[in-house]
Amino acid sequence: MRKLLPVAIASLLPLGILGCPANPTAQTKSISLKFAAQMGDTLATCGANFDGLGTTAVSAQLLDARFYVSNIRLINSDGDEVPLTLTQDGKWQTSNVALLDFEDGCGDLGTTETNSVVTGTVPDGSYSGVRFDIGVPFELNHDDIAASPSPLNVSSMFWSWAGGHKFIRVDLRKSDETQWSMHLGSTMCDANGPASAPVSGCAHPNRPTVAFDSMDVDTDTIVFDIQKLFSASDLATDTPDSAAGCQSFSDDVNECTSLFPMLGLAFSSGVCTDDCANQIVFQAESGFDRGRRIFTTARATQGGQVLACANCHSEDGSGNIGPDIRADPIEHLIEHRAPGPHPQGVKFTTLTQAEYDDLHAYLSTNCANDPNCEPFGGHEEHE
Amino acid sequence: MFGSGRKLLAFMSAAGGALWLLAGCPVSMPDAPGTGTTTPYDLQLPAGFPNPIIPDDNPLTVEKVTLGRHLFYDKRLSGNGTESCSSCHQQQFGFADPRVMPLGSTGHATGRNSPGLANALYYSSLTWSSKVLVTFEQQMLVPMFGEDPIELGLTGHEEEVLARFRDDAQYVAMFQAAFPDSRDPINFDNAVKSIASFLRTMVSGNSPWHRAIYQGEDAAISDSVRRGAELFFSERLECHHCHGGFHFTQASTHEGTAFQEGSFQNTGLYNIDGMGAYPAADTGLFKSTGNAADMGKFRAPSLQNVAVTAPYFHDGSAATLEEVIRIYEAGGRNITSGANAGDGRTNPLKNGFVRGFTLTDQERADLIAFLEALTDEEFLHDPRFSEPGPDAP
Repeated sequence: MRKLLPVAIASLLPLGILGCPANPTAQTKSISLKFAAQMGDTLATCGANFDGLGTTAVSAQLLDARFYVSNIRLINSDGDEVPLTLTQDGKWQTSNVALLDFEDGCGDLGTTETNSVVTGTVPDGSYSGVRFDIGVPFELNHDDIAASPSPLNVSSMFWSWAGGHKFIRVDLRKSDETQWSMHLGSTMCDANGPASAPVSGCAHPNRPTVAFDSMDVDTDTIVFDIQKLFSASDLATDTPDSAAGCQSFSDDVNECTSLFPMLGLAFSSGVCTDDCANQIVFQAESGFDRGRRIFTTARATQGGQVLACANCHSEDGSGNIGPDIRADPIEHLIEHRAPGPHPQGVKFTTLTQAEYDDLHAYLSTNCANDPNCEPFGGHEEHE
Repeated sequence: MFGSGRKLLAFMSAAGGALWLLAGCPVSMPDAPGTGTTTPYDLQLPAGFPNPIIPDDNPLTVEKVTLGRHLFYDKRLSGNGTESCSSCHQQQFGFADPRVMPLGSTGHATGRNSPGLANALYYSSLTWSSKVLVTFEQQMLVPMFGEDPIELGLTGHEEEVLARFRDDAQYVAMFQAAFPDSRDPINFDNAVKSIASFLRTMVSGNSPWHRAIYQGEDAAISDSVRRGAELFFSERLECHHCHGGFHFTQASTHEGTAFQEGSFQNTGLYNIDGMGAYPAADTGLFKSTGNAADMGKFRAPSLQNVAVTAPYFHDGSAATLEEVIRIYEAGGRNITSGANAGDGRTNPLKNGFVRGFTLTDQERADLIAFLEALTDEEFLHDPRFSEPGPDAP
């Protein structure tokens, strides 16, 4: 009994002294950074087929699309970087690393769960941009994954202690049923065999930085464009006796030399040229732009036919076959009226809350910009 | 908050820590007051092994493990008294079976090769192709009571089998010790819980590979093993995509894992109709899901002790590790004659990472050396897992 006491006291210390700021909401601000995976203008749906990929216009099915982000910094009004303290959720986020996951188990090796948001806190204030690294920081990258917390223990995102994690994993199954993959991670690590950590480091870190110094961190979405990732790659060919596609190691020099610059990286050095500023794979899109994209790409079906909202309501939502819907808050429209006024059989694919928000931003902006459009119920704030 | 913390601290001092006992430190508590106690079983996990997930309703105790070990080896746990679990899961073979497809107690073909049981407590799903059998308690009912195939053949013999144990004073004592709060502890539920507990103790982590990697014994593995490991973990061979992680399979779960990762693959062993068909006798995951894309998908097994668990694959259709590796070198298996003829290399449902590679003879020998370094001789002869003598425990 007496022996237990020091343990009890010790376990109280963090609770009583270290861990409870008097009023956390007064000092910090919650941030949810939204991410999305696209194939050009189309949502990068796991298991879907896409045409015209790469320099030789290959058709392929998307089987995997995941990547780690880390070391996320928001840019404050002074232009300084402020670290985003990630929520430790025991699942998608640990330490300063988060896993974004756009596959739903459609391939053999994935997970059914998906994740498109990174959550955390920053000190209260206004922020005008974000910078982050792709991948897992070196100090967390080469641990024993059996002893690592989630999401660092996802074995399909791991090579070995020596190689560490796959920072990006995209798997394509081409129409000829062969695979073309992009697996990014650190290489040329000076470990004594695959099951030991590097002694000093990895000559090619392959950890690009992505920066959007001017974006609305509350409403913009960071888009991972897989079509652009492969835009300089000849997906029709693959060097014999090398890994499938570009998997970062030296035997994939042919495939990776053309692909790496899409991420701002040089394959010959494993680091960015020009501060990674010339990467084209990641873009920040405004809620308005995302909303337009959702509104104009096929997200509904009627019978066997796929439809975009814009097919019936025109591109700006002002209506043709269907009515003008700019005036209604979109959440109200979808949840309370669809499919009521719609022709029988129109079904929407599932929309996330972020997508509702984006649609709302698009339609309400279109309404506000048109003197003939009277907002439904006045200028209702969407919360 | 600081203030209330201090108050709590003062209360704690006064209460002398009693609160913490109440809050949950179940150390050797009796299962029911006055009827005896059970002793928690210490798994003594090898270095590098994470905490396994043990079902809340079946905590590991020494008494259940002891009883489970006896039952595992006892032929009375079959309808006709001719087979035990150990008939098809033999310790010297990593608790696999050297027969291609063992026969059940009534002579019924089991239809599959016995998987090894080392570290099976870390599997996220059990058997060669089930997504729904995730605990030993669920899985074990299949060999015990299944009628197609008949393995232990208990269905229709339930009372007869229980009577055998009720008439044995040693078993009466072992069941009573394992389930001290039960008035009539000899039943199948308790037998299953006990065998499951015994299986969870089958931890194998002292192979040369483990000794070198986790225990700092560099000399435990040769340079050939190290070269083989480089090949195994390379993106050229792609082995690790399915056989990744400390358990050498993605079909792993333990404390701290938040996801069940995909672990069923078609590896191009067959292609009977050119559309990907496997022999009708065993179509893998397809048989249970009915999803055409699941044809020929089987769970990637752990490679622990793989050198002694021959023959290989779900149907035992490859006799040696070299034969297995040559199939993967070719990117699948081309069968040129017989009922199963077809070119598995072009199976349209094959996992994309099974794409073939070229090995020199030395590289192939290195890869085999690596796989052989996963054999834990201590496990294969550990008396804790061996058949109990007549006077055991």
